[in-house]
Parts: sequence; C-alpha cells; structure tokens
Amino acid sequence: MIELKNIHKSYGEKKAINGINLTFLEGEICIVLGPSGCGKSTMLKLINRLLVPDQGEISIHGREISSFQIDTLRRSIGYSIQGVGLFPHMTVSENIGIVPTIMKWKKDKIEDRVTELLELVGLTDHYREKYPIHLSGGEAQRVGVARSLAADPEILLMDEPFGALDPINRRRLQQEFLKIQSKLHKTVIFVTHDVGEAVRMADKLVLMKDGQIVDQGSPFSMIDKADQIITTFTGSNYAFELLEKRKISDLIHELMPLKPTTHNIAIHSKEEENQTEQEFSDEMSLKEALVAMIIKGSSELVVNASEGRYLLEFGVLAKAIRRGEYE
Amino acid sequence: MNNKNTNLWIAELLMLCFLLLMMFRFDIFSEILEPVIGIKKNTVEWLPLHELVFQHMTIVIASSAASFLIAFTTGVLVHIYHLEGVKELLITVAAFGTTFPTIAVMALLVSDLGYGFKPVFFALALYGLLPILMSTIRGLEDIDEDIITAAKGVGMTAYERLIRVELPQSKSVIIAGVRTSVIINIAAATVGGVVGAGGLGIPIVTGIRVNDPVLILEGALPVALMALLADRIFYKLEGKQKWRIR
Ligand SMILES: Nc1ncnc2c1ncn2[C@@H]1O[C@H](COP(=O)(O)OP(=O)(O)O)[C@@H](O)[C@H]1O
Ligand SMILES: [Mg+2]
Repeated sequence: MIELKNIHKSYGEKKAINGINLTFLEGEICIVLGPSGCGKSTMLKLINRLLVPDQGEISIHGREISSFQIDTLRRSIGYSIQGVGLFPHMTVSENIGIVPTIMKWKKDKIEDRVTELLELVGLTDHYREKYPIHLSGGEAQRVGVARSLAADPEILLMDEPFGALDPINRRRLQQEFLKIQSKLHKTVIFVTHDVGEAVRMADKLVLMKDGQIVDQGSPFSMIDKADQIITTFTGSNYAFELLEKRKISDLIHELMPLKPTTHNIAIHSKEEENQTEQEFSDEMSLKEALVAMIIKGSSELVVNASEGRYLLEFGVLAKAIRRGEYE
Repeated sequence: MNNKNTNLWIAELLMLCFLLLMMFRFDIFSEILEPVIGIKKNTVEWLPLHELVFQHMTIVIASSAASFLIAFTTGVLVHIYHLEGVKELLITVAAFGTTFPTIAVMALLVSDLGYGFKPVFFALALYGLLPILMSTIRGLEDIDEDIITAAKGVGMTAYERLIRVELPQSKSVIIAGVRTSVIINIAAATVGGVVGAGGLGIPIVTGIRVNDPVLILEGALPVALMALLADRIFYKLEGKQKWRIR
C-alpha cells in the first residue's frame, strides 16, 4: 500500500502538486487521468524520490519513503518513464537486464530473465541484440515495460507507457498488459491522459486537474461527475468509453434466448444464406455492440454465445453501465 | 552476423608506412625535394631521423597522457560532485592559460627546470589540458535529461550512472577533445628542439639556422604526418557507434 498525505510540490513559482491525499491498494491498477501539465509525472517522480515533496509524507507499507536507502527503493519500484527512456547505447537485452545487472544477479540468471520477459511482452528472441534506435515505437515501449518488470518489483509506476503508439498497437499493448497483470498482481500506478485507455485499464480511477485530485473511485461509480469533468478537459466521451469495460457476456442473463438454428432443415440457396441474420460473439464489448447496432440501423443484435443464441436489445445495453455502478 | 565491417585501417596503414619510410630513408625524399627547392641539403650530424621521431613521440605521448589523466579526472570529479562554480572557474583559468605564448611558458619553465625533457613535458601537458577538460565537462553535461532520469529511476548509484550511462554517452565528445589535445601537442612538441629535449624540432631549428629548407622539411613532414595519423587514429577510436546508426 502506498499512501500520499497532503503532498505539495512546486517548481519555482509553479505549483505542480497542490495538496494531494491518495492511497494506492496492493494488486490494483490505479489509473491517474488528467490533462497534460496537471502534475501526473511529478506525482510519480515523488514516489520513487526523483523529486522531493515541499510538504507532506509518502509511505510504502506504512514506512516513510525517505527512510529507505534511495537506490534500494528505486530498484524495488519498476518505473517506465514518459517517452520510453531506454538507454540508447545498450542493446534490448542490456536494457531489460539493467536492474538485475546493478543488483549483481548472476549472468545466466539475467539472460534467463531477459528471455522470459521478452516472451512476456511478446517480442521474439532476435530482438535481444538490437539497439533502441532500431526499434519501432511499439517495440521500444514493450522493452520499456519489460525493463520495469525485470527485478520483479512489487510496485510499478508507469508514465504514459503507451503514449507513443498508434491506437491499434496501443490497444493491443493495453490488453497484453492486463493479461500480464492478471498473472502478476502488481500494485500499478498508471498515468495517462487518454480517457479510453484509463477506462479500459482501471481498477480504480483518479481524476487529476491543476495539481489536485478532482475525484476518485471505480470507473463506473464516477459516471455522473466524471462525464462533465472529463468531457470538458479531454473532449472524449466518458460514458461511451465506459461501454468498453463490459462485454456482452457480462449481460448474458438479461438477454433473450433464441431457438437454436436448424441448419439441417433445408438447403439454403445463396441468396437465402446472405439474408440470414449476422451473428455477434459474446466476447464483444458493449461499445462494439452499440456501434454494430448503429451500423446495422437496428436496435437488436443476435449474439452467439457458448450457451446458445441470444438477442441483445438496445434497452438492455443502455442500462448496463448504470448497473455496473453498484458492483 | 553480417561481415560488412567497413572499419578497415587502410588509410592509416598507408600513412604509417609512409612515415616509416620517411624515418629510415629520408634520402629518397631529399632527392625529390632538392631539385624542386633548388638548394642542396647540408650534411649536418645528428641523431638518425627515426630516433628523433621516437623522441618526439615520447614527448607527445607522455605529456598527452598526463594531460588526459589530470583533465579527465578533474572533469569527472567536478561532474559527480556538481561543483558548478569550480567548473566555470576551471574553464576560465584553462582558457586563459592557453592564450599564453608557448615560448614564454617554455622560457619560464626552463629557468626553473633547466633544459631537457622536463620543461617541454610540463608545458605541453599544461597546454593539452583545456580541450580535454572542456570536452569532458561538456560531454558529461550535455546528456539527454530523459536518459539521466531513466538511469536514476532504475536505481543506479552515481558511480553506476557514470560508468554505465554517462561515460558511454559522452565517449565520442571526450575522445574528440583528446584528439584536439594530442594534435596540438604533436605540433607544439617541436619547441623541444630549442630547449634540448630533442625531437623533430631539431632539424627544423637547425634548418632555419643554416638556411636549409630541405632540412626544415625533414623535421616538418614527419610532424605533419604524425598529426594526420593521430587524427585518423582518434577518429577511428571515436568509433562508428552501432547504437547511433539507423
Ligand atoms: N523541471 C520542471 N521545471 C519547471 N516546471 C516543470 C518541470 N517539470 C514540470 N513542470 C511543470 O509542472 C507542471 C506539471 O508537470 P508534469 O508533472 O510533467 O505534468 P503531466 O505529467 O501531468 O503532464 C506543468 O505545468 C509543467 O510545466
Ligand atoms: Mg507527464
């Protein structure tokens, strides 16, 4: 558990953090969402002591961070810096293995660890000897994530780790990260200004503005306040992004069951086959489902789930987010 | 691995052969030069040319090594202890010192240390400091802030940061400084001919005295070649850094 108590931090005249109280729970992904310049990076740097607060206390497991030996503290916190921050003169494997190296692990143990991490972030072994300059943005950010995981730290500070990516790769990396997290259960503080990313990844969401916390809670619980606040500062529609946090399969009990199709009754002609209703997987998010309804111009979708076929009606979809609020 | 290693030392090898040829068979060059210049070379008795070249190299290597040890160490210390005030002071003093004419410094040193190797060694070591000091300080200073933040962020100590990040990052700038320093010293070491330290200054000084251009060239050409060779060698040492090449 990480606690921030009444933290203030200024750069000269400029107040970057203005009285923050926050608790981050173990094993949770906490997303800190706020516009550029609101103090997100500053907050992360205060936690691994790259900066010292002007006022207030930060503690990890109840112990004030200034009482730790600074290098030990930093090695026990994985940090992926905004804008990648790989060491340009080190190969991918040297970059990933840097924390184990300075912690004086044995060489072959480091090599094994690098292999393991490359696989974890979805890079093949032939990336080992490449230099950062030879990597695409997405590959570099994977390496950055791998590096922050190298010494198996309990805590991860991630400063817009997928910021340099196009939407498609960004989404893929988010999903992969969630998969990794479901195995590793780190305490993650993840900073972003991308509402979609925040909503998709958050266990807990913290909204920041002008160095202060505006609101915090589960993504669903924040729909009323968040929608006004976030929409004003990012232009993204919070409620719409929230639809992505639910799959059709989450609503399975509210869907209307359909009779199984009877393919073997008649041999369809080509035209007839085209006319048969398009079916959607229950793995789809509600956002995709809504978009599909709009494209079809219909308020219903036929869903093909492992339990059988169902009909998803717009009314059910529309109520899903409000229901999530009470979970 | 691909074997397109273009890092061949062809030009350097040719230069070295040329220098060796000059050292041991300058008469070949004299015969070409004499008709061109139109004056017959005097026969002056001194050490064979290759010995003079070795003397010259010894002076340059010893003084440059001293310059490097002092300037590099100072630069690194100033950097790791964040001695901003000292940094500026050092650069000013070193720059001011370098504006002093070599001959004047030499005269002062000779009156203290007597003739021979010592005054040349100290004068050159002094002159070689500035480029190395500057490049060490600037090289370590001008590293991308994000890289330093990353180095701190992963938990490197100041020492680890220096060894693993800052020196590799500033290596080429520092070597460029050493290169400048050595090349200045190769030319400046000819003053050794005046104060009895030997080296390639001797044929030059003698040539001036007996008004013999070929003799002057016998000293000057190997000096020029040594400077070129040193330039090439340091250029190669700076290295094609794979991590900088797209
Ligand atoms: N080193 C610095 N010196 C002066 N001002 C800074 C420095 N770093 C950040 N700031 C300012 O502090 C505020 C918060 O910055 P930052 O924490 O980087 O915001 P964010 O990560 O949310 O974009 C910004 O207004 C920024 O301009
Ligand atoms: Mg930032």
